[in-house]
Amino acid sequence: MKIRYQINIRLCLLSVVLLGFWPLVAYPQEAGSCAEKLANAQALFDRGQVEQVPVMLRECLKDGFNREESLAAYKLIIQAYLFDDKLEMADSTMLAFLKKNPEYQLSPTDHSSFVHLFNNFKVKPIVQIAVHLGSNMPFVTFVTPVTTASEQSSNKYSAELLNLYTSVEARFAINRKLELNVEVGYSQLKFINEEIIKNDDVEHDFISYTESQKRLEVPVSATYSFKNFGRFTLYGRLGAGAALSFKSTAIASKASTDLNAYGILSGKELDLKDSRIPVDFFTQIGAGIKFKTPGGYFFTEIRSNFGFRNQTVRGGSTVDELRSYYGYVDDDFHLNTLNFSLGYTLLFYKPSKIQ
Amino acid sequence: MYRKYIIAIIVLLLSSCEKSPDTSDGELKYYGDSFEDIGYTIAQVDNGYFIGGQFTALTRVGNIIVKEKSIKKMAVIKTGTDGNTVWKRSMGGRFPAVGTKILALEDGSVVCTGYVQDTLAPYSKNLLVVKLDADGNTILEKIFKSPGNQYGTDIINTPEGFLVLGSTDVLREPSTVYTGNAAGKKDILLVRLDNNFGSIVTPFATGFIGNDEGVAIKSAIGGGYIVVGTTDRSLPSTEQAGNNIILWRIRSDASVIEYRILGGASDEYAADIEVLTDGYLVVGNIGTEATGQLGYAWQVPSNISSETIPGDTINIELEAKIKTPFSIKAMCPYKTSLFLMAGQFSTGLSARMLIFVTDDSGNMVEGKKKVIGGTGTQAANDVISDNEDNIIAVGKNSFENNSMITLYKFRF
Repeated sequence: MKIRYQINIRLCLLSVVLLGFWPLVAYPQEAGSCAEKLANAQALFDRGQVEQVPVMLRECLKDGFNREESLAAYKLIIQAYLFDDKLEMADSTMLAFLKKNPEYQLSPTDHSSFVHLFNNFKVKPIVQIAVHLGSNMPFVTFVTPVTTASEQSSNKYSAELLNLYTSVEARFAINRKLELNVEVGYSQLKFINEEIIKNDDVEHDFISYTESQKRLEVPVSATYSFKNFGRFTLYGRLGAGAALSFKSTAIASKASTDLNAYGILSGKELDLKDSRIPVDFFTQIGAGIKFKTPGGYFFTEIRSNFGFRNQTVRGGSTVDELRSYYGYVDDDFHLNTLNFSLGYTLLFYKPSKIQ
Repeated sequence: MYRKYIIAIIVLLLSSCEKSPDTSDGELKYYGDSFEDIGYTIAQVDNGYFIGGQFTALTRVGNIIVKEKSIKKMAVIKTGTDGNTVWKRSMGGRFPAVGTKILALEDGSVVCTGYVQDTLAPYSKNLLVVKLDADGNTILEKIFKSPGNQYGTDIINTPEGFLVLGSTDVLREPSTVYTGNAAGKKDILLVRLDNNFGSIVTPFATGFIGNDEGVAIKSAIGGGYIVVGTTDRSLPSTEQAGNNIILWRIRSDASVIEYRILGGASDEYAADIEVLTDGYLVVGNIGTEATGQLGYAWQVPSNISSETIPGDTINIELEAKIKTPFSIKAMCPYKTSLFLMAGQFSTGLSARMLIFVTDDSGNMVEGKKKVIGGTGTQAANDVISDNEDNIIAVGKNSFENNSMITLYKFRF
């Protein structure tokens, strides 16, 4: 009997002990939620137990917080280190914070110690990678007309509006307003030269010549931000570059205005590889507007490239066919483009402590 | 700060203004309208060139050419040195006409010979000679009406006026195997004209019973003139056959001193003659147009009766084992001791303008050959060179029923 009572008493004591420890077991289970940990860490910080705060939050910083929680956690850890006089740890945590949130703007609720340390750091964009997609409208200048017409002739250059232009650009900030840019772009240029040849003031031949060029353009330019309107920024661009032609072709036709003279003369596409300069150089001027988004900006831009060199190389293999069959001779001309593009720029920052 | 940017922009834009006109392809110009226009002859004046040939004067109703009312006319074109037309004239009056040889005179005027054709059967041709002043005003236009067919092929300046080399097919008697000319067969025709195109004597015809056609006349070494042409006479007949080259040495009164027939068993056709210091360079073609011709050159001593006269085909494709047919149509002096040949490379729709340089033996100077043209048929019918060694050829560029007079100016 006495033994039975002893066993019951032991069970009761064990139960009490277990029940007494219940909250202790439950507490760590709730503390596994990063949100709770953040709340508890804040509580510990408020109670002055700052040394426990970084340990409590470190794991959650890796993958447990949403953006707002992450910001709060970093701030708490930094402040904890500052209070704990662990200045180096505070610096490295601020660096990690700024790497993750390079565009962070101080808020009025930020603690003064955090603000003080924040202001000891600078965050500069090391590079901006922009992608352009748009269209070229080619136009020619410095035209020295060359024609097979011995009397009057008139010609008119025109261009198609849609000529693919796409590029990738790296921008490097020189200062707050000025950026140096290096771009590599693929450019299609298609333009038309229509020539009317007269005899005794009567139009009798109509020559149509359409040239397509595909080229790689490598401009180096500087952009200067003129003015900000909220999240919009107006900027100008000035630069120079090289254009490497890798394909130039032409389609020509000739037709008589007389209905019973001869039919339309046309033929296969002509390869102008030896009739065009392989490399042109150009100056570039343009302007655009950009719209800031987190981590980058959208932009739209209009710019013009002015070719330096005469495009025509004499002595090409298509010269005879063009002038004998179509009555067409290349003018001397410079090829320029009016370029319209849309794009997005991604910003890559490098925070560092101000020495 | 802004000023620096503006200066930079201006500097960069100004640097884009480089101009580099380049005419290394030569200058090619076309003259004429739809249908058939052909350049046969070119001459140089101080400020440009005269081109002679053929226009087709078109009659249009709206955008339709009335073919029946469109007729060939002798074309005389004055161009600048850039080839652009200064003026152009269609000669021949109401008759169809063609110009075959043009001669620029020292006063800036121009003389052209050719023919007009009757518009009624038997549509016979009559010799035509015209003279225009430097501004294109007609000074003289004379049709030498005569039985049979007559046309001019060359004209030179003489102390008394002009000497026209032509062709006639009038019966000349006594017509035997050795004398005279059969009706309808070609004789060479020499017409001495004064400066007003008045006939100094009755036009003089010579040749054999068959076809004899003069193509070019030059002042001969030792006085008088030398004529080159094509004859179907073979002499000796054991060594020659078909068409051969014939040279006539004539006095200043156009009477024949002597003749010489060159050639072999193949057909040979004369194209032109140039005077050397000690003889003549005669060029022509061997073979027929149908089977493919090759240019041929003979070095003829001043004594055209010399026993042997060397001649050979001109090799313009030094490396090729199978030679592309080509023909020579004209020749002119080039630089100090060289000659320019103009003609046609290949045949049919592959035919192209051909210009090349030879020495005084007719050997092509390596690397001095130009073949130009594209789809269609091209030919150079005459060539000249100026004091700056520019080469100016005239001819035609044709495709389907459209042919244009072509002027091509370039330098080697």
